[in-house]
Amino acid sequence: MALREPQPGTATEGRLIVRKLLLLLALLLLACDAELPPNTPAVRVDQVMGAEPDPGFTRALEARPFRFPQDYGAHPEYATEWWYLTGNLQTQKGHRFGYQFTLFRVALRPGEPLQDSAWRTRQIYMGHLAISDVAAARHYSAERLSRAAAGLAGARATPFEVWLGPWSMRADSGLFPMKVSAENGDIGLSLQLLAGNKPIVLQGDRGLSRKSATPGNASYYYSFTRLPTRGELHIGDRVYSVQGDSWLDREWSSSALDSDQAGWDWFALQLEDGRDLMYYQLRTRQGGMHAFSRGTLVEKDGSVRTLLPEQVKLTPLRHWQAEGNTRYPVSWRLQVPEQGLDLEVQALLDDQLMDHSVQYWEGAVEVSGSHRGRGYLELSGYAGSP
Amino acid sequence: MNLFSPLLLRAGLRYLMHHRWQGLLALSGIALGVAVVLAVDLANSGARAAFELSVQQLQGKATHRLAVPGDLLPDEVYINLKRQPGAPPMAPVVSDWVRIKGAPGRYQLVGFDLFAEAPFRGQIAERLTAPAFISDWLTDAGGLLPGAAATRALRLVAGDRLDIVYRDQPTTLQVLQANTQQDSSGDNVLLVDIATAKTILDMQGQLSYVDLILDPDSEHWIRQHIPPGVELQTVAEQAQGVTRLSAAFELNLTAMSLLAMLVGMFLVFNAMTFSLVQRRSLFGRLRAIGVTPRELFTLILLEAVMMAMLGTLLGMLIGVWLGKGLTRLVAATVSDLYYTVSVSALQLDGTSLMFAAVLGVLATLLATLVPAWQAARTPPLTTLSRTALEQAARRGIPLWAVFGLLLLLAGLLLALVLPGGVIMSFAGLFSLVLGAAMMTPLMIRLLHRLLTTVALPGIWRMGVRDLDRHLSRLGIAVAALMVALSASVGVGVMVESMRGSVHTWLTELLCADLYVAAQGFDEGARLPETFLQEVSGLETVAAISRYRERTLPLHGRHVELIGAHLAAPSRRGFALLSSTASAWQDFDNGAVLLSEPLAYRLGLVPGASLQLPTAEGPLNVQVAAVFRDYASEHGRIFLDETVYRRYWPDQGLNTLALFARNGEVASMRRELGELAAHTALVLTPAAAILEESMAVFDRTFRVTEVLRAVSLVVAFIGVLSALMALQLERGKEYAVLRALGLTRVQLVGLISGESLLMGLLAACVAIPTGVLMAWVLIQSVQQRAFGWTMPFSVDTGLLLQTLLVGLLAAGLAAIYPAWRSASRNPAPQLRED
Amino acid sequence: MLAVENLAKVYWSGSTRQVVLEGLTFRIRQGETVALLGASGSGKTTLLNLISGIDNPDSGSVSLDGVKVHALAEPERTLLRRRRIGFVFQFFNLIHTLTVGENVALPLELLGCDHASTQARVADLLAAVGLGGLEPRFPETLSGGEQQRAAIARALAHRPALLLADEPTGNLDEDTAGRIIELLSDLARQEGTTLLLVTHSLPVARVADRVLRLSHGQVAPAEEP
Repeated sequence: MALREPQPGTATEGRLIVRKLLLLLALLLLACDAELPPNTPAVRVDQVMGAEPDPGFTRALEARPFRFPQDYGAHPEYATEWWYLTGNLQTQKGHRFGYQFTLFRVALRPGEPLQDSAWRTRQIYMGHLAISDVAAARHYSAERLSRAAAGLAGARATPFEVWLGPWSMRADSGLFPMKVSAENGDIGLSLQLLAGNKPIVLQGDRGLSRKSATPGNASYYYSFTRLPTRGELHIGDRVYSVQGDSWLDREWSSSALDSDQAGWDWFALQLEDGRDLMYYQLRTRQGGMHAFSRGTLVEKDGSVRTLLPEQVKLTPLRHWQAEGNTRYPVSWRLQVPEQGLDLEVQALLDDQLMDHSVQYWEGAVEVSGSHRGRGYLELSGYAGSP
Repeated sequence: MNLFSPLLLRAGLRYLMHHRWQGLLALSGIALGVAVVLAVDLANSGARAAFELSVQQLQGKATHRLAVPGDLLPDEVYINLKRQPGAPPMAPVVSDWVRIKGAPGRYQLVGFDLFAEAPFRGQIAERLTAPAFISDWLTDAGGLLPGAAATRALRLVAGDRLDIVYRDQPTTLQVLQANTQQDSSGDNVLLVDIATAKTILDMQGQLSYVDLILDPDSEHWIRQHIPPGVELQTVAEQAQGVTRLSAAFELNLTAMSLLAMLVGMFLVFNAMTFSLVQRRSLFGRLRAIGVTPRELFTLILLEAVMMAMLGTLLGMLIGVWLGKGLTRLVAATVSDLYYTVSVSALQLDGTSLMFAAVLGVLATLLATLVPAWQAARTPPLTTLSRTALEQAARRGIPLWAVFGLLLLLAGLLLALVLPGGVIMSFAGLFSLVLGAAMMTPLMIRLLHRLLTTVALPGIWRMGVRDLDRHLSRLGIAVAALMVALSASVGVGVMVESMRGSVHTWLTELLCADLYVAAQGFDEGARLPETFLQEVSGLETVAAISRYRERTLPLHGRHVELIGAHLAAPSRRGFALLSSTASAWQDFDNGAVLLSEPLAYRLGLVPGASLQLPTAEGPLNVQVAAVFRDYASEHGRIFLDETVYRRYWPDQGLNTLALFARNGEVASMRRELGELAAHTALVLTPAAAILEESMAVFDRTFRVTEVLRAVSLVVAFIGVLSALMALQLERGKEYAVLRALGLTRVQLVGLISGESLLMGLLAACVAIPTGVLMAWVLIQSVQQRAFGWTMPFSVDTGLLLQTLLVGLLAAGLAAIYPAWRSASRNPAPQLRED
Repeated sequence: MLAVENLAKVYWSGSTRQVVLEGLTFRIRQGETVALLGASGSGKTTLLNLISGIDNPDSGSVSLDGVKVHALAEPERTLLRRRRIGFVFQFFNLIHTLTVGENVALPLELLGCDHASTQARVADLLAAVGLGGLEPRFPETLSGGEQQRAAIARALAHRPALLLADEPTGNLDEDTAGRIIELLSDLARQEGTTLLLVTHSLPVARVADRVLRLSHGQVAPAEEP
């Protein structure tokens, strides 16, 4: 990692996040004619997340009080937003699965759309769905896109619903119990998420998660770290009754990464002792760790402790090489000496690559070492790097 | 033993080199025949490809389509399906025809949802690769991606503004990216975001249709999930309606081109017969030294194959060149009649090229078979005199004629009596022409007998006798000329008959004093609702007929359904071919008037019933009458306005026909002019519509004119080649005549006179043949292809014209041979061995 | 070698019966040069056509080396001509569109001889008839005598057993005629070919080993010239 060369030009390239995402859309359309070789990442995460924001978008400059249920819904004045669910599930016989279901909102332009047609909008939604079948060593994933108009996709705070065609997260009141359903051809899920015992976690400074020293390079970020989950997964013709725990991240911003940031390694771990650990390491283009890397440790009783980079030691143990020479560190040693944590985090499957419009690695992990547990690991900003 | 002797082949080819004229003329026969067939085929496939490409671009990979027959599809149908788990790939489409201000023709404005397009229309999406534009395309109200045709026609570049007009409403769009693809012909599409299209086309809450990609499972799924009134159609069904549009038109052109090929075959037959007859003594010598008939036959065929390949190659070059011009003509006609296509470059279609090549070689071989077989039977060392050969040929004439008569009768039987499609009609037509051609020598002989009874000066008598004497060879040339002339007569009479019928029909139909329409007579143009009341209030207006139109899918085609309130004079304009006892009363009570093509195609007679698809399910109507109609080969249905509005209440008025009170036409026009001044209405007197319609008609048949001319050129070359060869053969005879004291002028006169006689005789046979062809074309081909009938009328001027063209062709063809014979020194020819 | 037995041929011209040959009988031995002398219209050409199988007799037979010519089917007769018989005509009958060399090569090519041996044979023969080096010329560029020399070369090219010459000098002046006829008989002897020479000219007949006279459809040995 330390050997990684700086990326010439990328920092000064066309900057608008929206434009980049549109490039991605165009390439997606192209790809349907098989004119791109498979597994070519359409866009790099740093290009999507690290673009110069349109000044018309509201920026996350300071901590704000969250208001619910409004803040369960969308914030269209910000450029990007997501409802991010991950979880580890298993059947009664112990057949293990991981799942990821994310709905992204992207604003093409700030401001109100023209009022000429119900189909006119400036907002588009992108959905990612993935299921890891650990026993079969298979990872399935799908992507969906739509304009947020005419009822095709959108988000609503009361009663809560975010939907993209038939994919949706919804609740009758509040946020939980949340009904989640999504399917795409061979795979599908239909889950119910309960509130559990853990309260809401406001990440960073009262929910303002700063990603660099530049003001506004920050997001509003809150999480629910342990949501008891049960429901059904289907893969092909088989239907599995499953239960386990999910993790919900809600985040919105207009600009997150600095020009010298390449991506991040994000850990969401649920330990058997009842503690939940979130830690993201922001990587610089030079391959180093950025000082704004942050984490939180949520105690069994819900109390929260912020983790600074100097408290955490992260060491990649093993890499997995995806097609196209991109190497993903799928096994890590994570140490927080102050908390007595010395964890080995290992991917349940090496190939949990999300190879869609944006390429990243998102997968279920097993935790061992000083403590046992389960979780999800996200590795972004590796694709397209040497 | 060798399969064939290279030396013998060389001898044959050198013969052709020595008699260059013969070789060249045989080649030109093949070449021109191939050229015409290829040119027409290229033109047809060019126009078809252009059209199919634009259809394909629009249809993409869709297999099915969801639509409401005769209506628009509510948004909710799509959105509800789209939100169901398990829904197959679907893409909503909003589209209609618009005009571009300052540009002729119509363009298809198509609105897509980019996010639904990925599985469907990769080619179109390809153009959206410049990301900077996509954001504009999605979020601006005026982002446009013009198709290749519009880009070319209007020389568009990115950033240009384009004013489009839909139902009178102008909208300015901005070109985000010009489509400069050279190969995407026929793309007359203006692509916009679906929201933009809905706004421009005033289709909020509605879609034109939804494209689907279905397998049997998902088809089942869709059928279970669509609400009543919504129909699932396969794309094949959909495309049939459109592509069938021009099938009959293409068939007509193809038949014309094959006729030219037939004339070309006569040329080859002619040239080969000549060259073989001339080489009879050579073949005799070869037979004497031990060449078998089979070897001789193979040799001649081989020679023919080489000629055929060379001629075909030449023909393909000419055909490609000719095809370029023809493609433009055909595209113009197709645009006039059916849909706007633009052909940027000639599409060199491999199938067309292969077809032309195979046809050229096969036709040549076919034309060579008989002469080759005869030549191979040459006895060894024959000293058979030319006279003996001629006598043999003459003995064959009655046999040919009998065979010809049988073919002719078979042709008539096939085209007029036996049931069958349009292909059968054409087969009958060809059989008829071929039969007539085979009867031609006998006809010439009979006419010749007639001529010999007329007292002529000596030299002329000689010319007349010569023609009879050389019948075996000249007969073929005359037959070729006859075929070309008769085709010209046949097609000419047909076109004239049709023109006359169309004119009469239009004159009767357009009986109102003034027609009012929004923005010309475009599809979808609607009159403002208030206008009708204003017009009704005018003192000068005696009666008003109202028309509302829409296209309706019916038995795989798109027919026009017209909801009309017909004033009494309008009713008189209908030429009812058959009707129930109280047709107009029935019409007022909800029965329909069917156009003749539709009634023919569906086999419906007055009193029968018909099912029309509506948004509320099928509507059963009774047929009140069948009326003469040339407006659409697919058919038109008139339905009373009250019934019509029950099923399509939203449909606006398209056209009004106004009848003035006695003698107040001028003041009515003035009043209306004032009324229409502040609206964008077009007032058209019937005469102007008539004129425009006839202009379109004439443009349509311009292609036919070109083909007529080409087949005449082919025939002209036939006569020329026959005369040239004859002159070659009779060189010695001419030399003797010159030695006996015939002047050059007299010799020229003799040769030209013979030629003119040929032209005259050809025309004499061609005229009845052509009239018979026209009869078949009208009674069989037109009816089977388009479904309409028309009175048969023969214009004597046209027949006279044919006679003159025949004489002219023959006269022109004689010039060079006559000059050559006359200017030759007779001495060397006198002592040839 | 050649046996003609009781050969008869009658032509009909309208309703007039014209007897051309009647009970014609003669034999020619291998290698013999025989002249058949007869006036115009005495049936000389008809006889040659019958011998070569081009025409059919009304009765009688022609045997070539014991093979009855008219018992053969047409294609076989054609092959017989191709292999065993050579022709020299009054009107040289060279093929105008082939060169002199190609004309001589044609019978060999029809028999499927290979190129090299054909070329050698053509060169030898043309040299023998005094036309060495004229292979690429076309017949029409040659004089009458030269054309007939070429025709003789062609007739001998495939080493026929029987050479039929029909008034080979009828179209030539006296001097040339004499030289041509000597050449013809000399070559025929050299090659061991049986030569049947049909002529109306007594001086031409002089080169023959034996002279037969044809008159009134009958053949009779002529008195020694």
